[in-house]
Amino acid sequence: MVFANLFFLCLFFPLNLAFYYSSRSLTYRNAVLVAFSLFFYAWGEPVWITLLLFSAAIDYFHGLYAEKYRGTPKAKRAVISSLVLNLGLLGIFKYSGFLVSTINSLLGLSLPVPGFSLPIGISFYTFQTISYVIDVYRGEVKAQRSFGKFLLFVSCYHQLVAGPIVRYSQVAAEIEDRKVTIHDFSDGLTRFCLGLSKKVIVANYAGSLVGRFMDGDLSTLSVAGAWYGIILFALQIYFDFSGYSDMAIGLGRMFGFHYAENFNYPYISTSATEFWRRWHMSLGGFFRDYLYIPLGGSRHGAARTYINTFIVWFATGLWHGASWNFVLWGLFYGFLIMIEKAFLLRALDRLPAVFSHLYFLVVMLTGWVFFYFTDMSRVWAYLGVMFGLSGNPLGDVSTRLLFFNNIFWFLLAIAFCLPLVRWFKRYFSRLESRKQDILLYVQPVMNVILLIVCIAQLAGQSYNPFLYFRF
Amino acid sequence: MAHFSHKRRARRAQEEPEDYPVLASALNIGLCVGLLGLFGVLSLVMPKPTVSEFEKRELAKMPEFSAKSLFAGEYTRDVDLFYSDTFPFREGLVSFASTLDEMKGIRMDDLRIHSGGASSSQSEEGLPDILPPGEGDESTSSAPSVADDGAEGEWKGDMFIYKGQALSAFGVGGNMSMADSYAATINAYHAALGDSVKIYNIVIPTHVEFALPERYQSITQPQKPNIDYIYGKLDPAVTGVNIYDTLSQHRDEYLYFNTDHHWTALGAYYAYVEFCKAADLTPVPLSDFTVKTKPDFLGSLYSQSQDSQLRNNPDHVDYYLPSTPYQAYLYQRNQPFTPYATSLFAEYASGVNSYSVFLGGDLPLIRIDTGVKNGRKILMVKESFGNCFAPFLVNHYEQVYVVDQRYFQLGLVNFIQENGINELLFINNIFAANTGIRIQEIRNLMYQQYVPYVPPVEEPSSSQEAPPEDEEAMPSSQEGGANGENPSQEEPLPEEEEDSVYYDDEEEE
Repeated sequence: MVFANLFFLCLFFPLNLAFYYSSRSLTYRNAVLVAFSLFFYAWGEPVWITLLLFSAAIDYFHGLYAEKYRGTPKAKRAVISSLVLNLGLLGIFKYSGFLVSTINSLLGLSLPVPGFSLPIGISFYTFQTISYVIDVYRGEVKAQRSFGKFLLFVSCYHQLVAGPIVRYSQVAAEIEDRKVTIHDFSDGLTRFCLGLSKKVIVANYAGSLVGRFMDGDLSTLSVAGAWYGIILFALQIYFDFSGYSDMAIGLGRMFGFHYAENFNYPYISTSATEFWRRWHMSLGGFFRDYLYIPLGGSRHGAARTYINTFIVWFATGLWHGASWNFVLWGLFYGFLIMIEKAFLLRALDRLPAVFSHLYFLVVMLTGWVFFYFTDMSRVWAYLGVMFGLSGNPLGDVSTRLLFFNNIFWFLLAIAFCLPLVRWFKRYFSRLESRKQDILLYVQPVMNVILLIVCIAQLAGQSYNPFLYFRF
Repeated sequence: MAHFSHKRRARRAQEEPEDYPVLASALNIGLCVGLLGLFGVLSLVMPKPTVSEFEKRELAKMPEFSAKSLFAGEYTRDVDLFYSDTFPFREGLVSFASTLDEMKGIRMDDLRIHSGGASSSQSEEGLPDILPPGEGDESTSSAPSVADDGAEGEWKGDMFIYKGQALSAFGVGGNMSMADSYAATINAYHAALGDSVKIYNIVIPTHVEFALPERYQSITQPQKPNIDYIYGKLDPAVTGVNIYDTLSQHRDEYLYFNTDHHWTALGAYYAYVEFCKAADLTPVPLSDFTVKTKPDFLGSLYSQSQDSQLRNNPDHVDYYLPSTPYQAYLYQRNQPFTPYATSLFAEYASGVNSYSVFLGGDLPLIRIDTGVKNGRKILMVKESFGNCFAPFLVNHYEQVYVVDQRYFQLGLVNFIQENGINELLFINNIFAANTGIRIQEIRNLMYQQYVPYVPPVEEPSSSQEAPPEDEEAMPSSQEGGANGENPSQEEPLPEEEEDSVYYDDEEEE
């Protein structure tokens, strides 16, 4: 199941709330959450829910074992065994097809390519359980003794399918005991409505326009069309992903969990380095704490630092998808971050900020071209059009029309890449409390309007006039 | 605007917790959860529609549960589709969404591009861990999209709305392989039938060709080169009838609907005049026909776009009754040997179905017997553009056979020979003539074998097997069910009866 879906919004979610809040017993509430989460997952993956349960069971026992033998080689073996099992599952289900076809093309073999379908959310929940076992091993958290509570951590539907990657340490206390005030709930709801609107109003619509530019005939694409297309994709992916994170964080607050922020207005960055401190922060943090630093980080000389950086960015790219273009996308950022560290940031600092922003926007959009096309030849063709190397026309009528047909929506989407909400909060906190109260009563009205608009858009997605007339 | 009470809460919680606005939060929760819950309750208690009159299709049904479909992930997907298809107030919500859609920007020179709602599948693939694969909420569309027909996705379903006219852009990207294939298919009929059957071919240009000013020509590709190319590839024994020039000359007249993708009967009349020249006939002057009109027609392109400009500029359907006496018979799908008396004009047709006034919609075969005695019998192979053309032929032939290339079930070459038909006309709009599946259908007609339809036998042990007939043959019945275009399955009636009884599922005005 996904959040931006009428079945979820109008049946699953209200029912989940009704059951959850019908008793004060924490055991009951945890059981409700686990039951709904498993149903949520099984709705999309009726088969691979077994894998989720299997993965949870493995790490539950590894955690206990690592704690019992903490400080001994046995604990280390528990971590290694957990890593092998988790990464093994990920490798089989996510990367086996990619690996075999790469080997085939390198060695000219024709081994049968395994065709596993990717179980939803496997990249997220395996990382969550890996971090748990490592944290237990390091003594940063206590192992969870109740399998039910551990399953709640692994399966909780808020962040199960699309992040953020929640570490056990962040929610350990709240699994045992959590309080939800009416204001918490209300704030979470507002956050959820905003996230849903980001997904439905901006991301989905941008997605419906992107294909017109990026999936078409690149030889007739204009330069303006290429830029407009990749900007639309940048909007789509940001509003999609951060919208999901907002919804997850909002849902968490409604049930008493406080998940860490995952995005911090990434598109206002002035460099690739800054971008990755603002984009998908839970993933960056994971690779920093569980890969980069254990590898030695930057403490073993320049050569090791470069190697470590390379490994981290290779892994980051690969995590996003089992295809070489994602690896290239990761390495592209790794490379940029290295040269920024070496000299570029210092150079950019001497120029007015507008140049840094421009530099960042161009490299970020270039990066999304790598991200979009799994077919490398189209990557180069598209970049060729963008940078005017293909001799394509500068502009065309239909790009101009599409731009103006959507200009208000487009400008609004761009505006919401800026920290508008943060500025508003700052302004709000300086108001006198009578004015604050008035605005607080505006909030429910705004949310209801957003919900109705989202429901209408979602209903419209199944709108599907029978196109018999296309013969 | 997100949870903007944070700072204030922190401050007030320390200073004056009693002042905390509980009511505002309670109101927020009550309204939002209440709204979602209300929709949820209504979705359970309200009666579930099965047909959308507006979209002209059957809505998704609640799937039958089986362990197999559950584990294949089909069951839950179909429940999702059913749920959103039958959501309370769905049509109202859809039209609200389309109103919002028009507010997203401004129209330059009254021109707006309507995105056909077709979202790219690649963007889903590009987000492997952000969106669960296959769970993408845009993927619910099951429209017979033209991208699947081997035309390499060149048909983007782009629609331009210009001065109250909805125009579908044409584009083959210089790829003439479909045009080659179309011409070769027509030529194959000549090879099969020899010189004893005279073959004509008409490719109809569409509205967009004549509606745009110079500065917007680049949003579509010119159709004339494509038509000329097809005609150039025809066997010299096949007559390509040039109707382009006459339509171009009369371009200021009402040749095409503004809210529908079809041409009007007037457009068809000008084509008919050109056809007569090619077939050595004398066209009947327009003034000899009785003109009747169906007002307030909002057609397929309006349904698709729900554009307010179109809504405010509805079409009307003129139809021309020939003065020659004739008797028409229709043959339904799966009953290719059972004639039912019919009329060439389904007078009951109204509203969104007004174009069905011509021939009563798309039927596999219509046979028309006339009082003409000249030994000439013609069979025309058409898609829906041919419907308004066909009635003009009754003035000139002893018998006219109208075959819909999509639904006809008999072998056409045999059929022509057995019935002593000596002229054959292919008439297709330019989109159809460049669409692989349409061409394939025309080719398949030649020697296809009729397999009588046997309803699938219910066997408790074997689960959902495909019906004995090819699946893609079924759209006709589905379409008919939704439109009321096709007659319902009834007993054959005496041939003298009026046709309208066939359409008793249609509401009479």
